Amino acid sequence: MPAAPGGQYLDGAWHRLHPATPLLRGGIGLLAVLLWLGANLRERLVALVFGLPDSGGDPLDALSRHHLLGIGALIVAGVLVVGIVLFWFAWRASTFRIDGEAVTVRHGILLRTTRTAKLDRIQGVTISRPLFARLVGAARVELDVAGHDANVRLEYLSSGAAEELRRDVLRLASGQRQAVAEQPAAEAGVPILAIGPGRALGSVLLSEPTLIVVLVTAIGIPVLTAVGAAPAAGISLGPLLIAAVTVAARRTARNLRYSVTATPDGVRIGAGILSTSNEAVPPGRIHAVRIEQPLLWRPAGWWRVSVNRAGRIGGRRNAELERSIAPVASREEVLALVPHLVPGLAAAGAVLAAGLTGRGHDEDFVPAPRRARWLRPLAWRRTGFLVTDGAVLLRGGFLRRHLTIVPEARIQSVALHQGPAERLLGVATIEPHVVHGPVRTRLGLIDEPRAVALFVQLDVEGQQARSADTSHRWAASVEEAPA
Amino acid sequence: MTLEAPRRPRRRGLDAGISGWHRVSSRLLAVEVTGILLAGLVGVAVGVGVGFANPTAGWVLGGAVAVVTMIRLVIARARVRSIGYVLRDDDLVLRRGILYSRLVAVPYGRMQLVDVTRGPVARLLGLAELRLVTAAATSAVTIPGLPEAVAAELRDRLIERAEERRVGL
Repeated sequence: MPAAPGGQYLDGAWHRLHPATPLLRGGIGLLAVLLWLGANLRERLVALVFGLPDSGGDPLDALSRHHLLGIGALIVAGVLVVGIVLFWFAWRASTFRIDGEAVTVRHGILLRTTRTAKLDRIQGVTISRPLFARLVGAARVELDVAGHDANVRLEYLSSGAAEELRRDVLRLASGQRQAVAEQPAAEAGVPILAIGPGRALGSVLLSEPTLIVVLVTAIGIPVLTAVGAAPAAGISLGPLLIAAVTVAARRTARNLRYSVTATPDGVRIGAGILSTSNEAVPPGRIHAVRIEQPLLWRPAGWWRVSVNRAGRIGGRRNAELERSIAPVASREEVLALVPHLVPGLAAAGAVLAAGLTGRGHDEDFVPAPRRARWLRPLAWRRTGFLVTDGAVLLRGGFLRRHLTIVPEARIQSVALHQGPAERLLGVATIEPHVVHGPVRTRLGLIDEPRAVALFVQLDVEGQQARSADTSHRWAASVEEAPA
Repeated sequence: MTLEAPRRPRRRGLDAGISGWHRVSSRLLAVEVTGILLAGLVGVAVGVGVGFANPTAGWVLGGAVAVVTMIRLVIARARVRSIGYVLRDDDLVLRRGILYSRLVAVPYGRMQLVDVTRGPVARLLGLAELRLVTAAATSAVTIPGLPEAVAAELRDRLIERAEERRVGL
């Protein structure tokens, strides 16, 4: 491991993966086969020692009947050796390379596959350390690329090499020149979000599932006791309670180790206790942000922040994790975090605050007209939108306050809807379309002429913002930006 | 083959002040009606099946299917006429729907895929359906009822413009 960080992978040459890779990838399978064999042979050993009658029928019996056990053992050993050799060749054949345009991974001996992740299409870089890999100091690097199942994985690298690789990839993706990149860069990160034990536990306890469990228990036990079915009550509610406590404990534990850090290369999200993961999201990769506050969290002033990103649609192991970028955050943390997610909003603190808790005309939000109260008697006061600093803010929700932010440069297309009731009241629904994710970007109850104006504005400004957008090469100076 | 001259659909629902709407072929009505009748037929068959077990339920179900089918037939024409599209300098705008009207603007640079599909009935009538897909699943837009030649021309033109203005995500 070189002492000076960075640069090792920037030479454009092919590099190998961690030598323990075959063990980590195939080792668990091998272990399973051995365990299975052991479990099957146990009875046989017992029979051998105690001389029980031969039940007959399975392949081992057939072999022993024909005195072929020795040959059988040889075959098994041969298969094992061939397997290990194959794994070794597979490891030798798996290499990766980084050049100015893309990260390329190739593997396979007979069937050679090559996978390429174009730097400007990389949506994030995740370093994860599954428990087994962590024991031998290895880590997996996954490059999130837009598109279903388009991710490029590097399994496995040593932990240090993984960090270094990520730094190099992000630096190249940022558009900095190699010459600049070779100088050690400041890795300084500002922690934005770290969830303390109180909040981790509190946020889980004050959630709707907990409330439901408490209600079911509080109503269920007296009712069942009253009808004289108390023992049955215990039996039926027991598993429910155990499941609820398990889920709550797991969530709390996850939130305990959850952190978000701001770096010049975007935000970093760290999570996990035994198997850890750390994900870097470069700027300009976030297509929509939703900040919401469940009713139960209002006294505590907590918010949840979720985002839509390209390339994280299929096959994620931890869907829970990607649902929210900040599972529970204080108001100050939200105000600090959002400018890192939507770069244009750095100077818009007051606007954000109005979006979170304001109503009506606060900070120039355009509110829903009064007649819209017939459709949403409570939420209409909170409903409103604002276009500012290259982003559109959609505010709504009375009991469950929410604010959705869409950077104009990330809008794919714009839709305007109007149902019969909306037509009667002269209001309409606007929906800027963004890539799929947990955030739904639509806002109803907008005065029809204003909705039409917003539709036209988002359509025009979205395209202008996209052509002026350079965030896919976020650190490149203006002259260096590709034409 | 050129696109049909713009004809303005009846003013209904939203149009955001955009003019020059192209209308889709009126033969689409035949496709729609076929679909509605087939769905009605299936519904009635289910009703008959239920009727063997429980005559009252069968009549109720059959009646409901008949009423829904009638309503759908009555508004089919207006629905077909409500579909309109415009190719503007930077985007394609589509409108459709009478009760629930929808207006979508898809910038050419955002299109990831342009697709022409033909259902069995539509193919008999020489019609095709154009589908535009962007990176957002919600903005999948279809223009049904285009004469095949128009659909092919439109597809080529859209792909060409998408290539010219291709942008990232």
